[in-house]
Amino acid sequence: MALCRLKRPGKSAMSRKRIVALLLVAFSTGLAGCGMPKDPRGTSPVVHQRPVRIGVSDNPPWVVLDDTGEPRGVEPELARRFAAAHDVRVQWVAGGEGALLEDLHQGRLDLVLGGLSERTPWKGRVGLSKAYAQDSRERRVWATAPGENRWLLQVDRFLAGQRDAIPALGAQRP
Amino acid sequence: MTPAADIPEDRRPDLAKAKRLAWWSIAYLASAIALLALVLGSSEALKTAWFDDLLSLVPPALFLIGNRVAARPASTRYPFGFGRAMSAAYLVAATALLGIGAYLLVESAMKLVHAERPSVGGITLFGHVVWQGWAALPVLVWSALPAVFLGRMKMPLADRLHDKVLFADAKINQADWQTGAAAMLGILGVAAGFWWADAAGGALIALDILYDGVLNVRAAFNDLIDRRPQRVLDMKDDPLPGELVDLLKAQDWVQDATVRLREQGRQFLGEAMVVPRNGEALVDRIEDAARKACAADWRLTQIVIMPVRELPEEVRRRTP
Repeated sequence: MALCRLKRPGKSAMSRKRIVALLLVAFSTGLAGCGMPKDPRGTSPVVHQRPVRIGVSDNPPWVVLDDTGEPRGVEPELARRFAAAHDVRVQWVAGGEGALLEDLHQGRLDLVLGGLSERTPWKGRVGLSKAYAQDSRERRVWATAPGENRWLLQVDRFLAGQRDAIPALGAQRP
Repeated sequence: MTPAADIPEDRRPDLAKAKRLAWWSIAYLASAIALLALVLGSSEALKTAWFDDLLSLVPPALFLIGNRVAARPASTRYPFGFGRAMSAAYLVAATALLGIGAYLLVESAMKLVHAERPSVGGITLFGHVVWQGWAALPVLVWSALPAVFLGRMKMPLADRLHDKVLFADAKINQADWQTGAAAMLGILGVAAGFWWADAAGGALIALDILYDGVLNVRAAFNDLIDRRPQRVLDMKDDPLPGELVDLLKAQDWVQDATVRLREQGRQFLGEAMVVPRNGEALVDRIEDAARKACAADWRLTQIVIMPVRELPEEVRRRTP
């Protein structure tokens, strides 16, 4: 649906369409190789080789926080593998889910783990990975800073590659 | 709608072809809608493009259903037949278009105002994880390109059948390339790091839908309030009322005449007032004139001719 065209498309309309079509094809093929998609705030820790700031909220068995200071559970375990695979360190930030997600929304964290549900009301305000595991109630996702699409793609790629490892960690595949 | 029986022989293949194209449109749009649903994610531009395709299902559905309903013969309960049913359905559909366009526009604008950034991640296709935005691009091409060709094929049929619903359908199809382009630019913008490109693309598409809604509401409304007939393609006033006045005045027994016509689906219905020179053989003369009038144009299916002593002033004023 678009602007009303009372004339049948004549020669000029067709050339305009052709130009737009050619530009789009050129852009798409050109950009696909140029490090696209980009992170608008340029945050990908993998790209910048800096520590990944991960917020963790207690939610057994997904995230288990105790006095040792080192988070345990399905998600921190996966996060350590991710960091190892990309040769970056992890900086854990413990807190309540709401506060952590607010920090994520503002860009002060890169990732938030807490056994978040795919249907979390924070959808739209933070980035959500594809569901990597499920239990009897919900499908579980990781949360990333909103709009940082290169980072989110890296997270999604990692989680998809870990599909076979999920049952070994005590969880169900989605 | 003119029942199939009232359409002249030479135009029946056009009606058959239009019906076939309507079925093809529905099947094709269903495929585009299904594919878009897989890749839309949280992109506003893709969501509005999806709605756009969903709404595009309405005109061909209306065309097919309307053909059946309006073709039902008049009954004692519905002595004027069912031609108006189509016009009413058209108005409802056009209003829905308007409402949805307005809603989507506001939604896109709000996303820009609140600086909501679209998060688009990876999707697994054939064992590989690719960026969802790249997957959306070919889907958008599929949702835009065939529609343009469908629209091109429908246009001449709409003219030959004098069908406004088919014409609206054709216009919507033909302009789908703009929807596809806007959505693609939105995604490419997001890929390049311009988060606002997505909501901007969505707003443009929504504006399109809104504008189409306005045009269609106006057309449906005019139909229902008995505006004089308009041509399909350029929307200028149809010259038939004036031609009928000339035809009637050309009869030697007619001193003066006036005609008013209205559209009902594909049909023209009308009334004429004639001032006869004398009262001889009036019934035969009137019947003869009515036959000639109906023969003048296939779209005219009903004309009532009234003999009067003189034309009232207000009628004289609105004579074409």
